Amino acid sequence: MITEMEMEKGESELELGLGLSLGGGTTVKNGKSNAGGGGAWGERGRLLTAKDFPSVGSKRAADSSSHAGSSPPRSSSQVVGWPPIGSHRMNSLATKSAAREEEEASKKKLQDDETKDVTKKANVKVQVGFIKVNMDGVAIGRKVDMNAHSSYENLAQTLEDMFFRTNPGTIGLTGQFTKPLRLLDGSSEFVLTYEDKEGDWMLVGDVPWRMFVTSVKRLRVMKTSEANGLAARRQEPNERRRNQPV
Amino acid sequence: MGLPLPSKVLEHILSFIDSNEDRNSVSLVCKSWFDTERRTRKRVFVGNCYSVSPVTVSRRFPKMRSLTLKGKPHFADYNLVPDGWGGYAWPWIEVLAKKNPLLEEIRLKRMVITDECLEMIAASFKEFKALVLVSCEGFTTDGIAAIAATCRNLEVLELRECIVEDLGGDWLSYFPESLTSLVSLDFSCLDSEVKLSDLERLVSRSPNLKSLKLNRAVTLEGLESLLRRAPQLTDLGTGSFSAEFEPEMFSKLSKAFAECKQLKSLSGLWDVIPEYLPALYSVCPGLTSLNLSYATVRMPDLVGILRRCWKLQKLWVMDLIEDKGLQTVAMRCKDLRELRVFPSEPDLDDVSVALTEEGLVTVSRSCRKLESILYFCVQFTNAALVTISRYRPNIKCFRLCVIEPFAPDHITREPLDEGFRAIVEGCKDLRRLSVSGLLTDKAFEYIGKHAKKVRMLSIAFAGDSDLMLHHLLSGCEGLKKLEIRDCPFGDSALLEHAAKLETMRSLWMSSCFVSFGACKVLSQKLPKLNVEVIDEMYPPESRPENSPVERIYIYRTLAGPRLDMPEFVWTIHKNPEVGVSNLAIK
Repeated sequence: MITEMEMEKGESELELGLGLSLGGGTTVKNGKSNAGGGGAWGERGRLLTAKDFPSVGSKRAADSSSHAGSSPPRSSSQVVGWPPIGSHRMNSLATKSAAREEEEASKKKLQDDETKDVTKKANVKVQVGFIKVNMDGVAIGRKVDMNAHSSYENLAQTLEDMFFRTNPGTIGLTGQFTKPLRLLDGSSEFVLTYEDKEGDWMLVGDVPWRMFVTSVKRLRVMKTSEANGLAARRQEPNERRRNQPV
Repeated sequence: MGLPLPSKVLEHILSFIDSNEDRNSVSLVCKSWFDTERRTRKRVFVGNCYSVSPVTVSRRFPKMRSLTLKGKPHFADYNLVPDGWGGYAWPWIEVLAKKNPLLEEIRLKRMVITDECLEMIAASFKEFKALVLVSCEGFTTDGIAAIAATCRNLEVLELRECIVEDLGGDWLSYFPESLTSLVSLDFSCLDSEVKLSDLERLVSRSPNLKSLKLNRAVTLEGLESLLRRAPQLTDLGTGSFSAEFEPEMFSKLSKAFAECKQLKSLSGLWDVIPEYLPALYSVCPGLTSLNLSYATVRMPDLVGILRRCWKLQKLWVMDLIEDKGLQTVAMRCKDLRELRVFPSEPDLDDVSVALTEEGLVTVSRSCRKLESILYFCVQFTNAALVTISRYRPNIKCFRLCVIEPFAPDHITREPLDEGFRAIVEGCKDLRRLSVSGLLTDKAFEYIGKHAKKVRMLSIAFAGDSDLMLHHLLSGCEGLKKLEIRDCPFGDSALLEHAAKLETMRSLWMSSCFVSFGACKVLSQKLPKLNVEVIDEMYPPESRPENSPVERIYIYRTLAGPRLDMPEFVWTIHKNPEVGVSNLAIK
């Protein structure tokens, strides 16, 4: 990747100085310069151009020995963070571009829908995997990382630790708790419910875990007495095993 | 030997000193001045949240009423800092809630703040008045609801360019009917629609409301209704300025704007339909600040507005204004102090060419008070830069972004070295500089030598060698923040001038050729610096010592290595035996 740039000098030559001169190696001729002292540029006396930078997508065929040359083709660049426009502005521009394309291609109604979708995707930050969990009767909500869990059991354990451990400050997947909750089998006074991307509230446990992870928007630990009439059918404990991912 | 000044007298004197820079000087005089100053400081500013611990700040300033904190490095705005890097507000809020319960104002920039944090703020500070979050993230609209619901004396709630998980527009309805103290509300970065009737009622019961910035979801109709209820506004951010044109709506809107006789600042203006622009004509003559940078209208429509804004001091606009439109600005806006021109196309391939260096030259020539410039442009010339510097030696902030990396002077094909030389030589009060285009080490020799007052310098795709960094670090006496990306320098200049790093707030380098070995040396020899290696690809120890790391962030700190680093951030432990860790062990 960057092999040609790798430093040849050994580490023993790396020393701190306090502004001492770089040494005799420095020469400047015709706009080119040699790096003195040390570093990767010992033999290199050329003007570095875009093609030296792995992170820059566009490859300009710039002549290294002179500054004259044909006008570079204005190629599109896939460089991260360039041009330096803040993400809010970038999102707004992306929305506009997307909208303009649609306008040319299809009906206006379709264009509006697309625009909204692009805006939503662009503007809503995905704090990867973290979703909010609230529990009835507890003022402060918490957040849980869906990506850190591999099954409903896992998740339930985390939530039980979170809300019922005697030391609420620490999250642990192992540890004692006085009252095992069994959020998933309907035997305690609380059930675990979730809001999906369509805005419906359902009981957790019905769908395969991976499908659940992609559709869950937030979680709520709800009192069983209030959970009547929720969309999903409550499962018997012995049926639950069949839906666990392989 | 004179008598010491009684502390009561000193306190009284200090009550006239607001500037923290001055107060910092005062506190260096002697112990008793330090003590008196710290007991009386009300507004505290911490430029890097990791430079000092919350406990230290809380203890030093017991009467603190306002705290401003900045977290992530500036290049985080351009996605160069990976998610999860840090900048958490929680440790601060936790301490302040216990020790400084009289805190009234919190201002955060580029920090991560959770709903739990917001809830804690609402619950802990009884006199809380102002929350300003700029480019922050980590929270949802539920957190905002908590603030709205609980802070009974709330005056200011501003969310600027934040990334908020939007769970709906309900948060607004949490402002109780008893809350009448609102002075400023900015929810422009939120997506969801709020209930208009709630907003109308809130505005109606807020006689002190001076600044209102709506989000895009608020319609023109909604805007008109709100304006009727708040003609006293001085600062307005509209919602979507678009609807099917109806003469009746237009005349209602015009009338509503005409009643806003104190309006000084206007922004928002998303999706502008040109037919509705004339509704703004009545407020134009009074405007000192106009943000048209989201208004995708063409030059003639922009000119229609701008030619009426003869008192304008601050203008943000897109390159759709073209050179021609900037001519109008030059002619009409003689009071202009700040100009920002943003690109209308993020894709380099589609950038319009009707905006060139000429536009900026024209404005620089005519607008004598112009001192702050941010200009995105496809191309530039040395001649233009020289002209600008000659006409405007009073420039304090000059940020030029030539969009194509390595673009030379488009007429002479030379590097832009001489142009930037003119800028730094001519503009002696320059505080902030961003350079771009084709630049050799020579440019940095000039900058190092002449940019004595520059505090913040941003560099991308420039230079030839280590000399570039050597010039900067051996010159630039006033340098506090240096951020560099994709430049070909290596270790030696950095190591040679390491002592300078202790005089700066921070140094950011990404995609350069600094090796892990150099980072280790730096860290071990300079105890007052945190040297963070941010590398998502490989743990630095897994590679040869002289192979370059992805990014480095170096900053001075009193707090030692931080404890909240994610797995891709490594700090080099001061004790060489411990080596590298990303769980800093004290």
